[in-house]
Amino acid sequence: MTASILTVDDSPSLRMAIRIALTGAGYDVTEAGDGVEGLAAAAAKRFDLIITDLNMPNMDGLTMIRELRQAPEQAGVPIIFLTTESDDAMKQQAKAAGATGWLVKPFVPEQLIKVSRKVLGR
Amino acid sequence: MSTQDPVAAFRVEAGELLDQIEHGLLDLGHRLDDRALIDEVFRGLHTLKGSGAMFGFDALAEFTHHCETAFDRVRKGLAPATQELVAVILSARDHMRALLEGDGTGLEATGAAILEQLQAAIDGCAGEASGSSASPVPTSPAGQAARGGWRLFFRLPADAMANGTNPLMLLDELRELGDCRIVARTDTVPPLADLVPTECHIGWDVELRGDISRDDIDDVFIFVMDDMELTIEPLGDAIAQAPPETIEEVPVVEVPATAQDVSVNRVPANAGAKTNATPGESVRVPAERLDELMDRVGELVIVQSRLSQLASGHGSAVGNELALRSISEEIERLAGELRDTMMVLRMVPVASLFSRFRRLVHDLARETGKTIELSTEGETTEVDKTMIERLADPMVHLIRNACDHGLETPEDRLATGKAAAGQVHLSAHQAGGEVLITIRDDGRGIDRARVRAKAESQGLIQPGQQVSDHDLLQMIFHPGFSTAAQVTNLSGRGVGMDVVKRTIESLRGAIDITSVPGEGSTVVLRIPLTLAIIDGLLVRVGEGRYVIPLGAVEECLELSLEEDLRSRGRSFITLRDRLVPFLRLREIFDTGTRPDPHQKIVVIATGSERVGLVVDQIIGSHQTVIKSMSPLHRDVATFAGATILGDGGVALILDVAQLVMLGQNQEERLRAAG
Amino acid sequence: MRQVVTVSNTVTVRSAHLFSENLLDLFSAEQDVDLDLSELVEVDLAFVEIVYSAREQWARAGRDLRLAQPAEGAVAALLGRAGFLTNLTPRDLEFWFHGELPQ
Repeated sequence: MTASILTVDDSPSLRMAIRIALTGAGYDVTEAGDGVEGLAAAAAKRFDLIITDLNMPNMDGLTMIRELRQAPEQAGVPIIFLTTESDDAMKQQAKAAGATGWLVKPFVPEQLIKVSRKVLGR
Repeated sequence: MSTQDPVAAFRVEAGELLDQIEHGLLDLGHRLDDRALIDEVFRGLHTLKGSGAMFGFDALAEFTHHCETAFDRVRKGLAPATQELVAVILSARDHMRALLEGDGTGLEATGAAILEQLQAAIDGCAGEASGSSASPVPTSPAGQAARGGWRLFFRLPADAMANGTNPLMLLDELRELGDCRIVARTDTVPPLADLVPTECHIGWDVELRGDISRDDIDDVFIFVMDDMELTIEPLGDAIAQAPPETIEEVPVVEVPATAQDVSVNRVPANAGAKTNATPGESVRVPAERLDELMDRVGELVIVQSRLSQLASGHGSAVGNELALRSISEEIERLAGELRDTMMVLRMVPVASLFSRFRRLVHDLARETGKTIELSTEGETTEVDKTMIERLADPMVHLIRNACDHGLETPEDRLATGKAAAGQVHLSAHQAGGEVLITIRDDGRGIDRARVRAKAESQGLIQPGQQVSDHDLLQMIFHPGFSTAAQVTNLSGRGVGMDVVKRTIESLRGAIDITSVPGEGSTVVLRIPLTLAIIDGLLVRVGEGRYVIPLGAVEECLELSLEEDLRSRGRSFITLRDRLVPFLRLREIFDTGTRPDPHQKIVVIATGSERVGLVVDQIIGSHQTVIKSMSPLHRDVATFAGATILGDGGVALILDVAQLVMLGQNQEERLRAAG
Repeated sequence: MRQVVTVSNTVTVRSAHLFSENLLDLFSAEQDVDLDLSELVEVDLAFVEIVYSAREQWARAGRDLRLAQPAEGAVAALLGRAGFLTNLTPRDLEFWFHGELPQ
């Protein structure tokens, strides 16, 4: 079955780039524009992987990750966050919030797909 | 969004980010210790840097990175926000826009200078100097390889499994590296009463054979490396006695950039900076408006299928005619609704226009040394997207005028009992099919005596001639008219009020000015809601058909043959005691046809200027959707666009403002000739 | 008292709490338990860990926890993939496969 991925980012261009890369690799992609939308999407449907930005309006990525991990049905769902190389403290915080791993911006589609394969196993 | 090009999407988005940064900075200028604003600006810079690098805008990302690093010190409280800093980052923001829009060549020096200023602004107020260098990228431990392979033991952080790391996949990854012998260890699994069921306490001994580098193994564990238990020792005789290396804290390793045998739809990572896409050509549309449109299209498809059923011809003739009429009515309704929905799609709030002027006023205040407060009202009023673009330049000019000529210096204001800060007020509201945009200042008002003096010196009025106050004020719209005694570096750049007026009129709008000496001036722009649809008068000239925007038409007259002959060479008619120049469109368009015996004159006007257009026939009024001219014909001045008629023919739409100018020129030429 | 408990079709990290609580209830009821895994189709490591953990719990109390049938299908595959079948102890061989490793 096609793995379904939720991408949460307030930047439409980045969401678009992510969607193009992941659908090209055969994944099924759903988009959300911030943490609030991300939570709603994750509540409505179980995703195999969630890829989220950290810096977002309304609800940031950290808060969303914490909220997600509160829900038992989200246990074990991989969450990859997008970060920049200067954000080491943020990286630690996101891990502590319950993220699985990260992807450093800027990235090329191959890196995105590689990380997705790594945590999805397919 | 319909575009599938992330780079184009990024340009639009980056433009919005830059605006957001600018607004944040301008607000910050008023409230220097507002943490929320500082965070907002930082967030904008941060996002811009990250996305910029994603889409190949390396120079932009690099420059923004330095700004972000500097600004981060403010965010962390290491340096205070100051007016100087705000000003420098504003100029940095302009530089970012230049980097976004250009190809980055020739901008290095500017960028370096700004960064230097930035450094000075930060250092100037911070205790110690800051290094603006990026945090060093941590390097992974030496990529040593053990020829025989590795023996390792690992146990994951207890919460790793709940947090999305599947140990089975790590084992699979190890298997992919080489020949693998994996033994699970359950000796530390607690009895059920003590087990948190989502925690993983199982450990694994792994013997990994093959020419495998240490880095490959670290890659497998990259996401859990920080907190996991991991011991690694090389397999094989020579180094078997080396003490096992226990890793507790390993520097974070970046995801390697090496692409493996993955082929996908590549996002062009560096194509962006070179393509010459014009930014801002896409419109963001709320999803519900698209849904509305989709509903209409759905209905249209249903009606269409009814029509084809009818065309396939069953049923009585009378029944068919009734059905056809009902379908026709249905399509008429749908077309109307589609048009309305479509119009709404093109509408954007004037807030996007008004917000540009905050920066302008900020800069003007700095340059003139005046204190200026800008207030706005009615920003949610919606106007056609194209209209917004075309209104920007005239409004910049009007606001410059207000700030530069209208408002007094703080000293002068205080002397006349006004508040030191001058007010510029922008407002917008919709009235019927028009939007009224008002630019009001509380400055000194227009100096009538000076306008009169200038008008007399230019020969626009006779010395001592009686002119109403309203007509006198209209003089400032005359070409080449400028009342500024001293031309400052702000206004008076040759772009005069006449250009403003012409631009507004080319939008089928009107401009009006009122002014009370000592109290200020008010300019009102009246513009139609949309540029895309107009009511027009369809006329025939020779064999071609043309549309004259109905709003500009004043009246239609008969031009009798003898009058035509009599006026030849002069081309003036007398209309209520005024000489009105007229243009023979047949001659301008060089139709090569003979004039119709019953020619008509359509008198069109912009403001107080009139010109008559001689046409062969007036066909009637015609509501029309404007199609823009092809790039090839865009420079043809006398036409504003084209439209397709009900019979499939094409009619060109006349550009009223241009034709009036043409007529006025003709008038002046004839006057000059005596 | 000996009770046969049928494990429902999915036990993963998401439903781990539920599975663990059910087992603890059985333990409190002082039961010897046969786990029937014949309906179990989706499992992950959380399941295997809970079973190991439960065996420890039962063993310490001197009670008996067994599988109703030898492991097969998804469970057997998981055990192999996770390295439980390398160096299989006689005790584990007896528990998972009733003494005989499947071919």
